Amino acid sequence: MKKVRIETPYPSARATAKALGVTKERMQQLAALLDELLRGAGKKDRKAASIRKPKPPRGHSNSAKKSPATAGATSR
Amino acid sequence: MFLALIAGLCGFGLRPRTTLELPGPNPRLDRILELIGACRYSFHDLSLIEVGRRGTPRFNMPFELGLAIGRTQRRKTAHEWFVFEARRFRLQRSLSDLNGTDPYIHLAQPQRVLVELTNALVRANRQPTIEDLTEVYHVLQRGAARIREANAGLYGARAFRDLVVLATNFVEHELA
Repeated sequence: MKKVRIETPYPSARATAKALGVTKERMQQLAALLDELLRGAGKKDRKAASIRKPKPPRGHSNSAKKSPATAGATSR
Repeated sequence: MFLALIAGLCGFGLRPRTTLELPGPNPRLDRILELIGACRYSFHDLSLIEVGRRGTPRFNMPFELGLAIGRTQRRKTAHEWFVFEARRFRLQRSLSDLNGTDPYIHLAQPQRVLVELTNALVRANRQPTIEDLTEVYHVLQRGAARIREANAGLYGARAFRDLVVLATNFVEHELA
């Protein structure tokens, strides 16, 4: 007989909070904290993306000119 | 390390438990046995058995591991226990009765804790990626300061509950 793997859903935060005895009010505070953390992370990501310099193109000619040793090694 | 374990377990859809969360008149030992009995898995990090400031080593972790093994053997339950260590081959010297058992070596690094959790739980029905678990860890890390502030510490019952709920909330919304 083929064994069937039963996929169980992730436990919900609400059920977890209830099982651990977290009050509704504290649950809301933690949800707000998560929102704040995620928004902060989003801002950081956007900032990092704007600061990040574009990579120089991976070409043959430019890089070869900049490093003579490599250029020499690869030249005919 | 504490945060990495909570993040990793929540990332796998498990609900971390600790004796801290079970107040009541029962002795601590009864609460530990109750918890082991209620859980499918137990993770025992033996890397923190070190001599403290007062010169007394902490034996709680190996003792709890012994309780988990004893219970699993005696009752033939499906409980699975895992041993974590920071350094290779130290377990063979510190607890030679467990020779033949491969501990999960985390090198005292949170990222390695996550990696070793994925190794330990390779047969679990949910297999989050290391990136997923790292993301949960980073959220917990950022939220920990606020939770510490609100609970005057991170190693109490309420702080633990807050961390678990925060991690589960994130997993539910971002990974599920």
